[in-house]
Amino acid sequence: MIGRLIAIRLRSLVTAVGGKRKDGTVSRPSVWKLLLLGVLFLWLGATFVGLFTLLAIGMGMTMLPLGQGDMFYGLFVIISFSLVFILSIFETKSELFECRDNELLLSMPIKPSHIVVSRIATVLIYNYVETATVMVPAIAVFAVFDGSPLGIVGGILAFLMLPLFTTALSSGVGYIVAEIAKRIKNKTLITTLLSLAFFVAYFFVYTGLIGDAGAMEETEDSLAITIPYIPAIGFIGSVATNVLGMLVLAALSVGTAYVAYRIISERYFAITRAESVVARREYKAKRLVRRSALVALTGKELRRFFSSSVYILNAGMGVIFTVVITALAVINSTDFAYAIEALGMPAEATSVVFVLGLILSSGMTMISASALSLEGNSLWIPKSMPLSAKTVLLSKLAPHLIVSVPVTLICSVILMIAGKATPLEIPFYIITPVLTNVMFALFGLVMNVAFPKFELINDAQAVKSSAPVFLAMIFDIIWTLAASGIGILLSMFGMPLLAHTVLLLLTLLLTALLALILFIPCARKYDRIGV
Amino acid sequence: MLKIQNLTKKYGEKCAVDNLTLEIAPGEIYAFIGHNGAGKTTTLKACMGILSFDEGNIFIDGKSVLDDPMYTKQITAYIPDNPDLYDFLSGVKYLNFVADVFGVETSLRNERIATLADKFGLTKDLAQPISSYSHGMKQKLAIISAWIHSPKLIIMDEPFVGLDPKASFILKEMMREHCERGGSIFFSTHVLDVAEKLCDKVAIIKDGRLVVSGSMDEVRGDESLEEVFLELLGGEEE
Repeated sequence: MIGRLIAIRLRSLVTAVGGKRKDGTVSRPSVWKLLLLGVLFLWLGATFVGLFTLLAIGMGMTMLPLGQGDMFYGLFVIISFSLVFILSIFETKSELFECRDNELLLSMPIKPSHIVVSRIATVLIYNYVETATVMVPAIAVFAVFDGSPLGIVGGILAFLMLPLFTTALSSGVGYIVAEIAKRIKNKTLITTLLSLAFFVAYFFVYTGLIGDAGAMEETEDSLAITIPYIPAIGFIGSVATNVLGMLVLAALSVGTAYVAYRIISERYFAITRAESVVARREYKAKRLVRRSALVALTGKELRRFFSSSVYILNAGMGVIFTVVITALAVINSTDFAYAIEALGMPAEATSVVFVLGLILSSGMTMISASALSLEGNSLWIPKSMPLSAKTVLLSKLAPHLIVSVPVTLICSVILMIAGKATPLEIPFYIITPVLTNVMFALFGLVMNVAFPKFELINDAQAVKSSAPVFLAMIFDIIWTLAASGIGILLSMFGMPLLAHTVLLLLTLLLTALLALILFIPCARKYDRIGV
Repeated sequence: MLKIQNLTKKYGEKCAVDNLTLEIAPGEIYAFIGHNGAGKTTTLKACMGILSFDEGNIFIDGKSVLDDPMYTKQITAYIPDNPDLYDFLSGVKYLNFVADVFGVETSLRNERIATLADKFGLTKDLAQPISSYSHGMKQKLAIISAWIHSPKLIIMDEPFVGLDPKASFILKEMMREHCERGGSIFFSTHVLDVAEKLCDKVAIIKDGRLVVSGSMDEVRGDESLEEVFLELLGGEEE
């Protein structure tokens, strides 16, 4: 039974890249679509593997000849755990407890524990892929620079065990959030805040560790004095370098996974079938005021966004990152100035770097990329109403802009003040980041119209695991890298104003092109989508 | 009011609706019956312009759903077989949203929501999120939203499913009143007793092809609608 349930979940993942034919029937993803996504996945995977390989070579060359295999593996285990944990934490709760077929499965003679295993299997598969991007380069580098068979076997064992441990922990966090949310009134707000609290705690620990790891290569002698938890990193690394450590890791991973599985299985029915604790408010008639169709649609879209913690946490994180990046830039503005000088750039390049920071964080907002798919079974409502495709698409675009643009604008002004912007730089500080938000929103929606997915097992499928979100993410990464390349290169040649101008013009051009694509071919495509 | 001309709809090789022609005049209640998978829902969706078709045309109030969809949708209301509404909205917010899209005047919407919600006993639940509604409550809300902009034509797919006896009675009353005011109703149903008592005309469809259509008396003759239906479709009804 578990096998069949897992097969159903995996099939739904494959069909997530499918869509609807013109006549409204569900299509299998075409070979070309699968091929394109496969190539993009490989490219993304290769990029990350390449980055982690470079990191591993850098650290391995310094540490491994000195016999610091423990430290080397310790850092990679921490990086791998942190990366995978943060990527899975927001998804696990939704995957476990918020699937639309919960009622159907629970009404069948299927043990809740089997449902739990099948739900978590998808997250576990993702986690194995993500762990591989970090740990495989580390193991390879260890094999080249150290070559100890025990360390290689230990590295492989760590790779096999870590996803189990991470998945168990993220399931545990998801379970705790679900248990708390079950007992409270404003589920969305509390779930979002709790998840963010876990995220912030993680962020502080992680950035602290990474910062210290950076210092490691330079100030090896003073490590024990400046970083009190260095022995702990070594201890963590020992899970891959000695037999006892390996046994501890295996026991810890399997044990944690088993405990999480038992607890969640026991409580699964109670959590998924929990009655709402919200007291039924009796309706008191109020005068309802007429609004335009576009305002009504936008209001509805905003309510959809703010009523789903899954949507907020997976698609709206860019807004939080914008604030974080701005705060970091303001706090470390002196360091920035030194770094810019060290790179041989003029002081005016600060404004380019600040704008690039805002472009980077804007790319993490993905609200529009799933806005159409989230109509799901309710698509008949807008389709049967006298609404033009343009009105519907505008309303799908609006929440992305309403959520991201004001924050970006405020942060732009703060950075403008912190960077002591000249009058010439001010328009670039304001327009480029805002326009980038518009461009990313347009691209996400264009992708969603091109690859809509209405048969959803839960919201997370549209918000996190769908083709449009993946494609939008890749586009945002490529754009950020290209913009950074152009901006930094021109600044290094002493032309920061030209860098600003080129970035703005390119953004403007692409935004206009995407707007055309959205409101002409995409609008036609929307009209053809059948219910 | 509604004219379906030689409608053909194929899903790949399968012909879901084959050369269907029907006409519904103002003031008529028209029942559309057939076994599961006969092509009823496909036809109703095509009439709403939410599903494309391969051949033929559909006219509402003289305008083609292909050429002037904004007009035809403005004067039509649709209730699907499964009322998947916006779960994240409350009942009243959903109704207000529908009223906004159809441009219903402030005073009219307030009056209609109050009257219709009261009729279906839904008033006290209007502040609740739709996610907390039962199937029947969602169906009632979908019915209220269909009536809120006073459409000329109402298209309903199995509207009585999930309704309690009182709500079914109220819906039948509303359907009659709507047609007395010159409106038209085209709906599919498996409840043949209701169709027999309520409708002016009936069409029976089998495997996408129209088997018989006409006034209830013509179609039924001396038999009950159930007997005619079973004779025509060979007892295939599940």
